[in-house]
Amino acid sequence: MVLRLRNGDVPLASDSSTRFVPWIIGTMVFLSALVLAVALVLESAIDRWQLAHSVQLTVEVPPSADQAALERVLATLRAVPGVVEAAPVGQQRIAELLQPWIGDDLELSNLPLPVLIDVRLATPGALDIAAMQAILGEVQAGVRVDDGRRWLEPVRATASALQVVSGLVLVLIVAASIITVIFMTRTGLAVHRDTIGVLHQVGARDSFVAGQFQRHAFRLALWGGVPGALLAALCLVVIERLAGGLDAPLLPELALGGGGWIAIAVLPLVAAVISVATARLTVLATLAGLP
Amino acid sequence: MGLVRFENVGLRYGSGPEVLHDIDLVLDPGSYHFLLGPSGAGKSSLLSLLYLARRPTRGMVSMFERDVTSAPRDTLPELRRRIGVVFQDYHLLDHLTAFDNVALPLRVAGVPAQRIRSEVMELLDWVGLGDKMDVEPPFMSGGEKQRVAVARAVIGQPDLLLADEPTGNLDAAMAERLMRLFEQLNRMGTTLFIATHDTSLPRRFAHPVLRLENGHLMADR
Repeated sequence: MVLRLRNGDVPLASDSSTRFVPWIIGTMVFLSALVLAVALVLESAIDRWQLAHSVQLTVEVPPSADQAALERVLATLRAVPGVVEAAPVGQQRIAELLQPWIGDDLELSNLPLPVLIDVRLATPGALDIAAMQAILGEVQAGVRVDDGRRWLEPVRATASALQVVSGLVLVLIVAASIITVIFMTRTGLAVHRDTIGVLHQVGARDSFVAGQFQRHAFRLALWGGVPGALLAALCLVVIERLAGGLDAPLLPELALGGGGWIAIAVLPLVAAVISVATARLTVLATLAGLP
Repeated sequence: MGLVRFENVGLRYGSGPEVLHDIDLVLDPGSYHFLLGPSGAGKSSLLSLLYLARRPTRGMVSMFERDVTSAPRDTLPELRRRIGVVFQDYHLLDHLTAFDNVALPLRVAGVPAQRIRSEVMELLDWVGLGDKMDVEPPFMSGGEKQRVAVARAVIGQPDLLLADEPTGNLDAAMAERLMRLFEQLNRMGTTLFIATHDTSLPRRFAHPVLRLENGHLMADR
């Protein structure tokens, strides 16, 4: 990447020491986009899992229960306020669920499988699960109400931990970018000390000098940030396409929503704003030490 | 109170020895002084206090009726815009054209581009560099650089004009023309303070002479 930028009153565009900056900012934006995508996909997955299991639960009736007991359980469930639907899962569906583990050639009727009842609720949290468990336990001993919390909680905790890690990685990336811009700006101030002296002598304010560095930082950040974001978007599209062919129902959907794409598109601008603010504060803090 | 007033001013660099001692100086509005002194006497140090690049380590400096000894940094740019400086080594920005170098004081003061253009072109024409507006200092002779430096110093119509060996790199004709310009600016009210080795200048232009020796300022007898 060869920069051809126009010099301002301070000839920062000619500095060979700043030519590496777009590469660093570009890499930072690329990594930020990937980390952000991971965090957003996890966020969306957690929301979907939570929503699905807050209006859905499964009741297991033990294999020892007869048809009459099953009918009593169903009738009890359907009479509960907030329950929209309660229907036994058909043998065909159970066979499909078990097929990956036991294959096609096993007769289900020979297995002591519980009868599963899918229950759909009107609204999330419409049912007190513990109370429901107690009522159904009186109708038929051994009945178990499963609202998915057993497996959902650890998955959600893991996803949340991954989100926290993603956030930390983002913070580190931002910190590294800020340090890069501080280093670049201080180098520029040292290299162009005489020029800045002339500007001060003709009456330039520190903010005028800072403006020179701000414009330079802005251009360098966009110069690196835009290709970084484009490359990240390309990678995410490829991952999304590949993930579309996976048959893994428990995996979250590896696709960014519109908001996610907008966030990635805005990243170069965010990098530019951070670079500009860092350059300005660095210049003003350094010049404040002059007579 | 004078335009410039130094009272018992001393200056040292870091923890080194004092280079200016007990300077008392008053420059009244519209005055014109020459500063003579051998190399190393402290002329550049005194000038650096006058164009507010340094602050005294002791004593009091007042410029334009404001005590600048410990004035906040952000008040200095306004004062510096009232001071034009011609440096011995020009202090031009090599990456800018002659036009942009001369325009610099107006640009940092936020003067509209149209006015900058007309004023800079007029002044560059006057110093004989109308055909070199787009030339950068590395491609100019010493005399041409000096003229650009003079143009930059006077473009903002300063109240105080400081010059360090302004005629040092000029041929006799251009030196004469420059000194006439200084006379003209002085008649228009600009205060001039010119540091020089050239003892013929004070003889040709009858203005008070100050002499600086070993960091001590004294009036020439």
